[in-house]
Amino acid sequence: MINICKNRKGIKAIVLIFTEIVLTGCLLCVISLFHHVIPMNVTSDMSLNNNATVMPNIIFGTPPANTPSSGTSATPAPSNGPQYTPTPTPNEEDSLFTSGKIIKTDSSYKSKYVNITCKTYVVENVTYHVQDIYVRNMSCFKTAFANDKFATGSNTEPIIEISKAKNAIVAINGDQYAARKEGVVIRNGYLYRDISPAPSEKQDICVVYNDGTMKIFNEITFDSAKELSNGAYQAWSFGPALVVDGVAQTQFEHGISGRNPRSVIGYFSPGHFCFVAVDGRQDHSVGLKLVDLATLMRDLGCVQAYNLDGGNTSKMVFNNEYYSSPSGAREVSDIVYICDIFE
Amino acid sequence: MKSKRANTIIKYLLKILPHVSIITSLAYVVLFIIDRVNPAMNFIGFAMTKVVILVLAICSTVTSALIIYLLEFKNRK
Repeated sequence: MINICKNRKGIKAIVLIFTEIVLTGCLLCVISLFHHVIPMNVTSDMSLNNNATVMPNIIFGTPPANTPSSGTSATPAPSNGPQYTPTPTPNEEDSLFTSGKIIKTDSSYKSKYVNITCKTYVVENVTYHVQDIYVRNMSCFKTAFANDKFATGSNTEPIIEISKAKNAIVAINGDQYAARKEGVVIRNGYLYRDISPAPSEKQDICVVYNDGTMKIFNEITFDSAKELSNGAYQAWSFGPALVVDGVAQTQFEHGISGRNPRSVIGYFSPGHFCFVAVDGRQDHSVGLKLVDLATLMRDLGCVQAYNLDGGNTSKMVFNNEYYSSPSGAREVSDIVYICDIFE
Repeated sequence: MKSKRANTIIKYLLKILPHVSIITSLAYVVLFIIDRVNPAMNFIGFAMTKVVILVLAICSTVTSALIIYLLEFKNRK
């Protein structure tokens, strides 16, 4: 009789513990549902201003012969890291832009407003892709959200689909803003989010201005209102900064600093940018460490370079097809892309 | 009559609130660990997590108050 009672108590205790765990799981599911799955739309009054309305053409001189460059920097690449080869330079005999004609090849696009050259490099066990971009007018340098809406949570879409919808010539994934509730989001001249994260989670912010320049800030000192008045056109909150004012960063307190697939936006001079995607987690390419990536971007000749979301998010598109080899099928919440102006 | 009803309410509260405390505590521990692993997701700063902490705080306070009441006043009678 005592044994039966003891057994009953034991079963009751097990059932009780099991119930508590199940209920805890249910609560966590509900929290995850609201945190991750159900998108939270932001009201349109978050769009504080629009700098995209007036976009003067950028005046380019003769295309520099050595940009993007290689091996011209003062500090050599680490000996144990991959050795990099130069990225393509626009043919000096031709002008940077055409008078209106569109010249397309398998790896390039040239028109009155855009000049893009795509190249793939294989160095040891690392494959990386460089899209060298000149834009005469910053209206060609755009960003887009998945499903055309700003929403956190599961607002994602395949990069190819967004790229097709926007008539992008080239595209790269953005900072996957939807995965976070904080951080600055300025897109195409509109401020969508200006929520500062906790001090421990402060990140670097990259800003592209409507005069074709790019700067990198620390989130602690960043003033979105001030930068919007200065003409901030795009801003990403991810990072870290790889090259700042021509200096490759060497210290990365980041959990993802190991060899991984990478996406980077680089800046040479006003209107001259590059998108870089490094293949990783695959047999043909293991990816790059942040420190090697910073060296690569500096060796390409970038004055500023900023790390976008990598890993399975890292994807690069040219002519609505993958130009890089993504390591996973993860959809993206935003893209950075170059389009043309048709008059 | 009033005292009987109050006793019944206290009994029910003491039956339910500890379970709610355990569930919210476990949920918070899990969210805390996830947040340490992937700080970018910011589970701890999420509004619903703050509600979980609030519920935990209320449950703990009421449970503690009821236990103190029972131990210090009821049982002495």
